[in-house]
Amino acid sequence: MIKFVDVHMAYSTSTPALRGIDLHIQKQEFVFLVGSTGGGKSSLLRCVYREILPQSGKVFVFKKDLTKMPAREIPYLRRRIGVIFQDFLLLPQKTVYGNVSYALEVRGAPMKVLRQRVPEVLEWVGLSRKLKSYPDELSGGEQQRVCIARALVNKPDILLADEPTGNLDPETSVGIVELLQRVNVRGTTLVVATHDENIVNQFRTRTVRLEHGKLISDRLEGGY
Amino acid sequence: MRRNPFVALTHGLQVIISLMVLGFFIMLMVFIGAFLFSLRNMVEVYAFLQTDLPAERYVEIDKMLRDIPNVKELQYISREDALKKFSESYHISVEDILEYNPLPPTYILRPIDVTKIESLASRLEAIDGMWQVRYGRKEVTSLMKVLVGVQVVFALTMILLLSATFSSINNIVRMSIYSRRREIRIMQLVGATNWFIRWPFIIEGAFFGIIGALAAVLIIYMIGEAVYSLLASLEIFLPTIVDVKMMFGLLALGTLAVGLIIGVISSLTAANRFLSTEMRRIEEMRRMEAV
Repeated sequence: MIKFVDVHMAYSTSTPALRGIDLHIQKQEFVFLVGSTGGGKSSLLRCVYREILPQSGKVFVFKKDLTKMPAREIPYLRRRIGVIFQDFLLLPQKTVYGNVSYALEVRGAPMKVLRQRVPEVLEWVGLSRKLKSYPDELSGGEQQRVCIARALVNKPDILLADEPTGNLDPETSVGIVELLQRVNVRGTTLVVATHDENIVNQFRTRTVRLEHGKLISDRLEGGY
Repeated sequence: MRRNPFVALTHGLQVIISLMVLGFFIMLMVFIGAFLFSLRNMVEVYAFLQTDLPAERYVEIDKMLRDIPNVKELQYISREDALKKFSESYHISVEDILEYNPLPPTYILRPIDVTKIESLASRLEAIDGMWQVRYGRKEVTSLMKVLVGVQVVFALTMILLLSATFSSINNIVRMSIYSRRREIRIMQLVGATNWFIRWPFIIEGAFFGIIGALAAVLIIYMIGEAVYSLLASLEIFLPTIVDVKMMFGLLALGTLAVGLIIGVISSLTAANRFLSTEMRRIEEMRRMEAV
């Protein structure tokens, strides 16, 4: 599903972000990316949804070589990939419903689909009573759930989460990862970049460690 | 824009003023153009033949003149007709005074290309049997030169005004894009195509262009009305070079079209620039974060 072959990427010559990454993530896998800040976790995720291009090497997603993908095809790639961020990236002027339906609207989905799919996914993440609330009326955990709902509403094949629990307390963090685990059980490939040692140790799934842009370890049931 | 209402208002006013001045210039250009056109129609070359030529030479000359290029219209005035016209115009009988007709047979030629009037005149002068060739050489050419010069200056000014309008709308849309950059980023992440992102801004640019043009047309109309009634009250003679109502209609349509086109192009440029630089900006931001 996701394959990195000898990927090198640098934002400038002095700060390489990824150095010779070889990584293969299978369909329906749940992978934690761990490592210190600046280790290359976010850069690796950004390569997957083609926000950045490596200087050398190949990145394959859905068997397509992203290094050769023309710009006009990127939106269609991203429709199959959900992305979650630490800072949620929600629109403050839109309600919970509006934020989630937006992801369908930009794809030109008909109103009928919006009316059916949005309440369905919001119920699934446990926010069916908050449809009309605005992001600033929600707790951090609830905002992250909205973000997850927005990522899931398009039924993505891959879900990428960049520090999804970074702004949350430990209890809420566990709830969010449990939710992500449920997403994974339903068949979505999941890649979670995190600093959260407790979460990684608690969920015991494949863990890839990146330090200074290099892949240091890749354990199938690893901990932090 | 919501963050900078004063700046947006300033740019909006700039759009209106630029389009208004542009409208005035278009109007003046049309007036001068129409005047030049009518002037060109008014330019005539008078070819007077000698009075003592044999009859067959007159026939030959007539044939030669009819074959001459760069002539739109050729009119022949016989000696008798010329005398009749003269007598009618001045209310005198020449034959009573001179006992003979002194007026020569005359041809009036209207050239197709007025700029080549001199070569036409020299060609006529070279014809054997020609007595005199006359046209308002200096007056016509110098007036035309001045008017063409004025048109060139106006055209250059119009380009400047178009650039100013373009820049104003571009700035408005850029501010709008900047205030919605978070939304654009979300749109990109959830798979919106670039055209989907561009459309609202193109509509916004077109809206500003049309509103600016409408305001400009309205102001031009009000000023035009005021000037016209002032001149009418002063009983100043106004030559009817062009149909004023028709010209104003065309001007309104032209200004609206210019506003719309500039609005669309400038917003498209702003959106394209943003979309192409956004990736670089994000990378730069991440790089700074990494450092």
